[in-house]
Amino acid sequence: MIGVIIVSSSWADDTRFELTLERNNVSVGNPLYLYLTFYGAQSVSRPDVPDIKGLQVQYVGPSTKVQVINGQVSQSITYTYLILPLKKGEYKLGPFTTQFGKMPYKTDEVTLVVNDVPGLGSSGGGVSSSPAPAPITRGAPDQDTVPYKDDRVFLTMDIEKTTVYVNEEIPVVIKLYVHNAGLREIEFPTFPHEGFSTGEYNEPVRRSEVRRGLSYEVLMFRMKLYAIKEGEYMLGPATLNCKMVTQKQVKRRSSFFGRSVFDDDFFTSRFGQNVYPITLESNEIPMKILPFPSVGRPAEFQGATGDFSMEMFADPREVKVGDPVVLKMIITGSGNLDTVTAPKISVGDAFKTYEPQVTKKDNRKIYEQILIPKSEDVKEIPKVSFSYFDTRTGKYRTITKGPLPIKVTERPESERAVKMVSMTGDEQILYPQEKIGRDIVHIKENMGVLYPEGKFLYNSWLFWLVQFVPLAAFVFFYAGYRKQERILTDRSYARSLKAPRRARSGLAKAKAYLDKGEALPFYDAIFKTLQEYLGNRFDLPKGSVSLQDIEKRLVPAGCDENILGMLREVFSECEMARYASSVTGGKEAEDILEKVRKIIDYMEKVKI
Amino acid sequence: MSRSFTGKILLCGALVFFLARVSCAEEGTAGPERLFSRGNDYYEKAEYQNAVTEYNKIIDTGYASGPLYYNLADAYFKMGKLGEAVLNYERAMLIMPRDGDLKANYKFARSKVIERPVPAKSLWDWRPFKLYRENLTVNEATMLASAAYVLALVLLFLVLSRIMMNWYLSVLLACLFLFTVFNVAVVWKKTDEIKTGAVTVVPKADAFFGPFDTATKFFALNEGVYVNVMKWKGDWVKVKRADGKIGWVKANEIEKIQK
Repeated sequence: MIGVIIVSSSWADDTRFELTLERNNVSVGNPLYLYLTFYGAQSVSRPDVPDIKGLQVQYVGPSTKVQVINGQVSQSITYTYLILPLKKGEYKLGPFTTQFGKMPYKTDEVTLVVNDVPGLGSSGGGVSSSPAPAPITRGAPDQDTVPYKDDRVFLTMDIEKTTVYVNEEIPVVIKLYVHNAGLREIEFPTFPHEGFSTGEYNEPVRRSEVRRGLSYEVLMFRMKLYAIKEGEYMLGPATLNCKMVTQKQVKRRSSFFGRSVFDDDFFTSRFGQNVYPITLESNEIPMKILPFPSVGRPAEFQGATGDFSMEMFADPREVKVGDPVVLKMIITGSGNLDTVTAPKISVGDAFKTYEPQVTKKDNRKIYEQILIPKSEDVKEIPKVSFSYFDTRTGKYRTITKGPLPIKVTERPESERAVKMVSMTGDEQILYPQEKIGRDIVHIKENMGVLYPEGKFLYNSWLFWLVQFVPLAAFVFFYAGYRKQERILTDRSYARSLKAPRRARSGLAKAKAYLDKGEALPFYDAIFKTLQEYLGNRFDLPKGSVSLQDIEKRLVPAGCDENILGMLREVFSECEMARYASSVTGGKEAEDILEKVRKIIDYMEKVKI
Repeated sequence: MSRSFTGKILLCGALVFFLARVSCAEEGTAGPERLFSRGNDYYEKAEYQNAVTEYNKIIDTGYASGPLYYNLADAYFKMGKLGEAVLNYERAMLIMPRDGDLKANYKFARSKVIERPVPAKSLWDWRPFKLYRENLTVNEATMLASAAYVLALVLLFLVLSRIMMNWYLSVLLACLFLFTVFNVAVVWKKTDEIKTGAVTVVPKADAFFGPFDTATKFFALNEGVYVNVMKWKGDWVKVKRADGKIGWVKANEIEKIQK
């Protein structure tokens, strides 16, 4: 039934990490427990508790708990530490951290007050001189609950022996007896275990047992205890919480053993039932934990307790200098495997070593130690010793294996690299540092091109000439561009630019008429040339250039009076000649031509 | 008989004299290539002083090359003249600053100089600027400035005449202008270093507070230490050490990088 409940139940996902101190006020020399409990999972790594000055902290071990309430399974793991106050003072404990999955968890901080007078204000009940069980906060039974006493339903706790040695492993069996009664929501039992650390419960086993003439259905809870501290202690009582089911109407079953009290249909038949919680309590067991005897204790003894054997292998047995040899040491046996540590091997300077890798399988521990021989002088792996305390005989035993002969050959120069092989098979090759000589590089064979000393490019006038050319080109082209752009966009500017050129052409034409003696065409050409020039020069419409218009522009601009006079004469002469019936050339015509030239030259120079 | 013998003697004498003159002429007018090759031969025979003499004959003509200064520096280094070696490596760096062998030897020689490290204190000591400056000769920086200037003028014309009007042309123009200015600054800086740079060529030179023997000693310059020449006064030179300390040293204890 328990198995069914566990399998069919869902795990609560309420995870948290809590710190509980047995007491927070103790005297120097009185030990107390520190519990770090993770609720919601059991596969949580052990939190690190650092050394605290004034306190001696010793890790005791883990204990787990699984609770089934209304089909919901809650589980937890508690890491227990024993704290021995060495000095008076106030100590801050925590916060401690651990990790579950990828999430970090942190406890709160508590203060521990240590007095130098024994028995001062022990808030948890002065236990300094009392071997009474420690009040475990997490998983401890509710102190207000009255234990249920009934011959039909009761709890017992049995242990193989009551006198054990430190670190010894002792199986404990807690039995739930049920006769003619119905139970449901049965929780795993808990019990105080000062002086001991606990393992996990095995799968509960169900069987039938006859006791005092009655036939009982028995549910057996098995667990291993590990003695951790010498002294006399009281183990238990174990308590178990469950719910009792009773019938309101008397309804006899035809055969009790034909249908189990833990069968599902018994519990699922709700009609006419009374269900109420009960707490069962077992007997207590006085225990005595003995220390390791000091007589005959081997030097290499590390606390291993039980009955063990050891095997040792080395592979490969033929290597080159720098190649790794894996030394495998397998310790098998019964007892507290957690107390087994790596066997001592003293290799001196002959080998380079790394921390051994350890794996635990069933009842054996495998240590794999990497040994790297440093020279070809190494001939063997030294002997390895492992000591343990045999609790059955009460004596120490030492197992020695080896030495194992190996053959180490010199590594060729070309291969002088160190190959590092991890336990996962990854390889890393470390090459020895090469010794590199240092000196100047050899002289050059080719002299190269000879240059005059101290002469630079910017000392040359040619260089500056080359620099000037692009600047001059830029100015030239840019000015040309601007002029062209103005001609295209400014009509008056364009007309004023072409005025002298057109005037020169007109004057040449007039001169040709004069040379041929054609007076009328001469005056006509002169008048048109002057009119066109002045029209272009002052941006006036062609044909509408009159003397009055020109004078209006020239007089305010401060034009020379002689030029104005000449202009008036030319206009007058031309008018007369053009409208007269006959005109004469000769000296007068040449004067007119000269005056027009002077007028145009003046206009171009003065830039009116 | 006697006349004939005398004639032969005179003839032999004339021949010997002629050959000797020819030999001397050849010796005196040996080309730079031959002098260089001869210097290399001496160097490989570990006759470093002779190698230095041959290399200096070329330099005395007023012409030099990077490999020439490099080989001369190597020879001085082998002779144990660290100051002269550093000096000539510096000179070679002015001509072929990107040569790997030269960089290695210069660095090695400088590592032998006992000199207090001086933290960077100017913009020129910023690594990108320093690398740029150290890997270009004066003429290369000049040509880069010139090329950037010409290109900037062309771009300026294109932009002003609206033949090409893009925002990135304006950015490029600004970059070219800055590049031109930067290279001009590099030329100015390198020229200043060349003109004022000098190296201690004696095992230890004392720098005084004044240009006279009885002045108080201020600090010492180890062989191969780089200094800046500030002023000449007779046989004394006012120098500035990399850490900013200024003192007067004897002129023959340092040698300028640019002769």
